[in-house]
Amino acid sequence: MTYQSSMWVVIAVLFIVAIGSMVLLVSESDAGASGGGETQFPSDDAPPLAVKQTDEGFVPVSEDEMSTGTLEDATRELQP
Amino acid sequence: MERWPDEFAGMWIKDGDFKAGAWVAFTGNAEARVKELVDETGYAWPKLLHPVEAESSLKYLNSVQEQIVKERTENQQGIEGVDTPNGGRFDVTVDLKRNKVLVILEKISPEAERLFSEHYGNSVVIEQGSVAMPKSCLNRRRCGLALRGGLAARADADYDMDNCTTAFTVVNNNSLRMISAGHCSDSTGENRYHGLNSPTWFGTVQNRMMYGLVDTEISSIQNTFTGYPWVYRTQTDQQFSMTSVRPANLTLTGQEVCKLGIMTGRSCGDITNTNYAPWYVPYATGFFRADVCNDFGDSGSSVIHNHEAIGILSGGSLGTCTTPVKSDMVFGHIGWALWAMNSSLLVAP
Repeated sequence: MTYQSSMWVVIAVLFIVAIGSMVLLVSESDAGASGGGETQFPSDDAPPLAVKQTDEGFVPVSEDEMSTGTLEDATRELQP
Repeated sequence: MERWPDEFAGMWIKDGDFKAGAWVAFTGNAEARVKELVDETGYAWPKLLHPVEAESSLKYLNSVQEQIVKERTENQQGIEGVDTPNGGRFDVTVDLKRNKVLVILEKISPEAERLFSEHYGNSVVIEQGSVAMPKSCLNRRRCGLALRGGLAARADADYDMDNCTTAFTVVNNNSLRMISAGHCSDSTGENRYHGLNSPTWFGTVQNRMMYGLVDTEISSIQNTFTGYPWVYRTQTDQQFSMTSVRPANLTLTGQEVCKLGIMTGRSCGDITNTNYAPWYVPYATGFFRADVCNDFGDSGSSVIHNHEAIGILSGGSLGTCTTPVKSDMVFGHIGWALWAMNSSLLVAP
């Protein structure tokens, strides 16, 4: 390998490392661990709101089972 | 409300002998919109819904509040170019009934009035009052090896260390954990003890967050302790089951909630404000204030209604349950805390 081609290999490696570092920084800042002020909301892969313990382990409880998810539930106690 | 984001101005509930129901506010055509909702959803008790005409939408009031909280946080962090009264030591919420952003200052000065008036105009009202304080303290309790909400969680085996209250048993990564208030710890890895005469180590803080919507931590449960889907409600009702989580969007002004704390026990009252922003939580949003007394050491208390989990006590105004000046309570919603801790509430089968 000539001196000139070796230099190009070194430059290419440095370029890849630099791009990789930038991607890493973007990922970390997107995580929102500090600063910012953005409020992030639950993603689709969030665990269930509630689980119950059974012989098979922890089992998700559906919102229907909890039956607290409607306006009727919220105002039920106001009924005369 | 997603359907009319620029017109919806909030909803609150009032129970009472004279006129009970849910008040729904819009910046125009309130009566027609409420009727439309009733017709489309088939809501069973339309006479309980009372339309209200308001000047500002909730979206606008929330944006004003968000800006105030942002500037308050930057002021507290010493960022130049931002000026808020009292060094940023004030609480902010939206007063739905008055249709204003409410700022609570311990002392109102002409300078504070000028700053808020110049920056935010007449959408903000200022009131003098006691701001919320984080409520960790120097007290202790004991409850054997069966952990649940409403118990003491000590930071050290020595008596002179801060105490808090446990909120609920949760499940994280297939393991039982205790959830409490985030300001009870300074960092993950802190020890947690329970017991009065010979405090016993039961775990360490696994994760904590005090930011935005949440003031919460979760601790491991080890050393022969275990967690149950209960809260310690009263002396005669120590295994009160949790069966559900009330959604944040159905946790409304006017609803009754109860807190279970190690210092002042069980006390109940109505939610007075939603989207409360206590001063000590950076970029705070989405907390609740309620007319429920409490004292230092009640931080982390379970906030419940019947068997529903609703929140975790974060702080409250100065005062207790017995002094002439009764304290009120600020809590974060359990749904946000669970989300932040990547956990699920353990409920009774």
